[in-house]
Formats: sequence, C-alpha cells, structure tokens
Amino acid sequence: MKGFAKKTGQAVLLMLGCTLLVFAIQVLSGRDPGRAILGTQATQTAVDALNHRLGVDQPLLGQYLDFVAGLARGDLGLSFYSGAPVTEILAGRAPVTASLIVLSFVISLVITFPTTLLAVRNPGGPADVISRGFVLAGTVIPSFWLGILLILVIALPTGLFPAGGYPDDPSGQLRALVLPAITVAVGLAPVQIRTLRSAWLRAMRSPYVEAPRSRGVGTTRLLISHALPNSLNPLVSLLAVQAGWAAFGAVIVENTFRLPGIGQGLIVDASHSDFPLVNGTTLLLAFVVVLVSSAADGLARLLDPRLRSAQ
Amino acid sequence: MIVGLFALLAVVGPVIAPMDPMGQDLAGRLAQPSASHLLGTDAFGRDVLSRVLVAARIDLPVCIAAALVSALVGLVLGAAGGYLGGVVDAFLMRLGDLVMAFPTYVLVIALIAVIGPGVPAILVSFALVGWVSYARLLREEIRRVRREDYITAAYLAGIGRPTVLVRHVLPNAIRPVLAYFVMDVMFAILTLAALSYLGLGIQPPSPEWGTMVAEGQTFLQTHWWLTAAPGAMIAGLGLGLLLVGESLERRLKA
Repeated sequence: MKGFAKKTGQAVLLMLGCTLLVFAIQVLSGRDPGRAILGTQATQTAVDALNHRLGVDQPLLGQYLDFVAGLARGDLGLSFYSGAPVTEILAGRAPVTASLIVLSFVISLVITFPTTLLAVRNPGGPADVISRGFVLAGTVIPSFWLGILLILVIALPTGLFPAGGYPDDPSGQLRALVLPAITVAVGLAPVQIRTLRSAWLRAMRSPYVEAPRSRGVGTTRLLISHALPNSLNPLVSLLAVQAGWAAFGAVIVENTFRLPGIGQGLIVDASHSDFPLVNGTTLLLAFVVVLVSSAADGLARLLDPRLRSAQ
Repeated sequence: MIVGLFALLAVVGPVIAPMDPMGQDLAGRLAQPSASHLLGTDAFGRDVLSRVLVAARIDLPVCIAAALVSALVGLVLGAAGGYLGGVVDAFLMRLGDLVMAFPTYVLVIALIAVIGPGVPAILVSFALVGWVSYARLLREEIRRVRREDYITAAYLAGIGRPTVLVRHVLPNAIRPVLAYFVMDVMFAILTLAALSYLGLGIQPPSPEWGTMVAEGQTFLQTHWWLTAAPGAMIAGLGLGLLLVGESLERRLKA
C-alpha cells in the first residue's frame, strides 16, 4: 500500500507539472489573445479591453494560480471562439475519441497475439518472416495515408463501412469507428509484436519452460501455458507508453474520417488560435496518459509478484 | 541503399523532374496519367510526378535538421546531467519525465498552435519534445563510460575535466546516439508528413508529401493516384531509414 500512495503522489505531481508546462507554453508564445480573437483590424483599445476581461494582463503567478484553481473546480475557461465553457465542449468530444482509442487497442491486440504466437512457434520460419514484414510496413506507413487507402479499397467499393462522419445511433457509430480503429491499430501492433516476441522467446529459454519440455509437453502448450504468463509484463508496460501514441494516431485519423472527437476539434481550434480549448485538450490528453501509465504500473505489479516484493 | 536513392533525389530532384513543380496549367487540371504527365496532374494542373520528386528536397532536409537540433540540445543537456550529476542531473531528468508524460505529438501540435505553422515552429517544437531521448541515452552512456579505466587514466595524466569530457568520454558514448538519430529522422519524416497533412506543417503551395495527400483526398474517388503517390514516397523513405537504423543497432550489439 505504501508503494501505491507513493505512485499516486508522483502522478499528482506529474499532473501539476503538466499544468505548469501548458501554462508556460501559452505565456512564452508572447501571443496577444485579444489581437488573435479580434483580428488585425481592431483598435488597440478594444484589444486591451478584451485582454483585461480575459485576465491575461494580470501578473503571471496570479494567472497561473487562477488557472490551477479553476482546473480543480473543473473549469478550464471559455473558448475564445465560441464562448462556450471548454469543459462542456471537451465532454461532447471525448467519448468519440475514447471509444476510438479503446477499439484501436482491442484490434491491435487481436492482431498481435495470434501473429506473435505463429511467429514464435518457429522463429525464422515463414510465419516469422511474414510478421516481420508486417512490423516493418506498419512502422513506416503513415496512418493518414493508410486511412485513405482503407476508404478507397473497402469503404467506397463495398459500402460496408462509412468513409467518414459519425451518426447518432450506436450501431452506426460502431461501424463508423471500425476503419479508423484498424488504421490506428496497424500503427500500434508492430511494436507490440516486437516486444511480445522477444519476451516470449526469452521465456522459452528459461528453466521453468525447460523443465516441462523435458517431461514431453508440446510446443504450443509450452508457449501458451508456461511461457506466455511470464512474457506479458513488458507488453503491459508498452501499452501504457502507447496510450500517448494512440492519442496522436486518433488526432490524425479523426481528421481523415471526419469523426467529431477531440482530435478533429484540436486542429480546428489550433487554426483559430483558440488557446483555452487547445490547452484544455492537451491537458486532458496528458492527464489521461499519466493516469493510464499509473494504472498499467499497478497492473504490472498485480501480474508479477516479484515486483510487489521488490518495493 | 534506399536512403541513398532518396538523398540523391533530394539533390538532383529538380533536374530530373520533367516539369516545373509549381507551374500551373489550369486548362490541364486533374489530367489522367499519360505519357506527358506520368502521374497525371493535380487540381491546379501541376505535374504530380515532379512534385512528388521535388518534395524529397523539403522533407529530407527539414527532418534531418529537426533531428539534428533535438540531438544537439539533448546531447548538451545529457552531457551536463551525466557529467555534473547532482541537482542539475535530477532537475533535467524530472523535466524529461514531464515532457514524456505528454502524448509527445499532441504537445507538438499545442506548440505549433501557439507559435504558428512553418519550418521554424517545426524545428523548435521537435527539439523541445525530442531532446529527452538523446539526453537520457547519452547520460546512461556517460555514466557507463566514465567508470572505464582509460578515463581514470586520462585524469591521472592531469587532463582537465572539460577536455576529458569532450575528447575521451563523448567519442565512446556517441555510438548508440547515432543509431537512434537515424530512427529519429524516420519518425520526424512521418510526423512532419502527418502535421502537414493536418495543415500544421509545411504550408501549400510548397510540394510536401503530407500536404499533397491532403490535397488529393478531395479527389479520391476519381483520382486516387494523387493520394497514393506521395504516401508511397513517405513509406519508402521511412522503410529505408528504418532498415539503416536497425542495422546500426545490430552492429552496436555485435
């Protein structure tokens, strides 16, 4: 439990650090929010008045404390562009992105496990070579391009999945998420396969696998019941790191498939210089990543008793 | 091999490009691939083949520059942390944790949103995000190398600390950094293309692969090659860099 309290404390500190970083970016940019909103035609008096109303002419420390205090109350300020509360806008967009990311991870694992199993059954064999080819391709193919190719070869000719947009009914939403999720998953799976493959092969050379092997247990059985449970830990840690990549993947793919999530929103907001929204989105994603990696850390401890006793 | 080909392309691209990549021919818009335009023309009647070839001139140098800036910042900070240790080191490493806690490229987007798109913004934001990996890598290497006997020998010979660092520690610690650098250029290529695709990277009308994919997407149903050609270039260059990076890593281990 002591380890848990320490981890929680670290996560909170890290999140506070994130707020500082986001705030620093905003200040260091030296941009004039009033000018950004009103445009170059506005008079200096109007710009000053707006800046005063937004509070950006106050001392920096006060601004930062206001920002953090607002955050604690769940208040991220108002959008420069639409005037609506940032938290409300983000709450409308987040479910789309969250479903997309979860579905992407599910699909990537569905790709990873069977592919890696076939590859490690016979290292250097045909299945291993094919999976390596997939790893190379998945690493270098840009996700936005893959998304477009999927639209071209699946969505348009078959009409099975929509080429873009997000309907209101749940089953339509699921269908709208399939192709984007596959796109993100193909970017995630290669590193998962590499990580799992090397951990799995290492486990196969260990004494606790040698022992049942000498008793005559078959390869597939050895792989799944003896070696696999001990190879999962690196994969779990990797998934935590990948949460951040998946977030970036989602940002790109949402734009390709016109999904109304925080990624598509982020690009629009960025082009409007709508800093409260951009910062709110960045913070939201950063918080989620910190929480996910803390959770993965806890999960790794549950999976491996050695880590528990080490603390 | 592939990388060499692309590097060559970046140098001679404009010479072998059959047409002016910026030259518009509004009468010949969206032409099918033909003998005069091997990959057809885009919405402004610009020759796609020429644009795809010349784009190597923008993507490759910008990405190498981006990786170089990250590497320089990271190496200086990593050397400082690894060598001085103590408070400096602890501070730099915590700062690194902080940057890494962010979904890296979301931070890049946030930075570009604030700085405004363009090459300087790309270099600055890539460096702000990318230095951490270099710093950590070099720091570990320095901590390993400095315990070696030849470093002690250098000290005993009466050589000053800065000289030992630059002349004796760095050369022995730099090899893994080199392998990572090639990988970093590859990631930079993919990221730059993605950012340009989103409209936050290289701005049109400059020929850039990500931008071209975005422009071609509008005409996907009728003119798929407008999108396919630049995407294939990104994947091809990425693959070349990936293979070089992997073979460098393997050689290090051997």
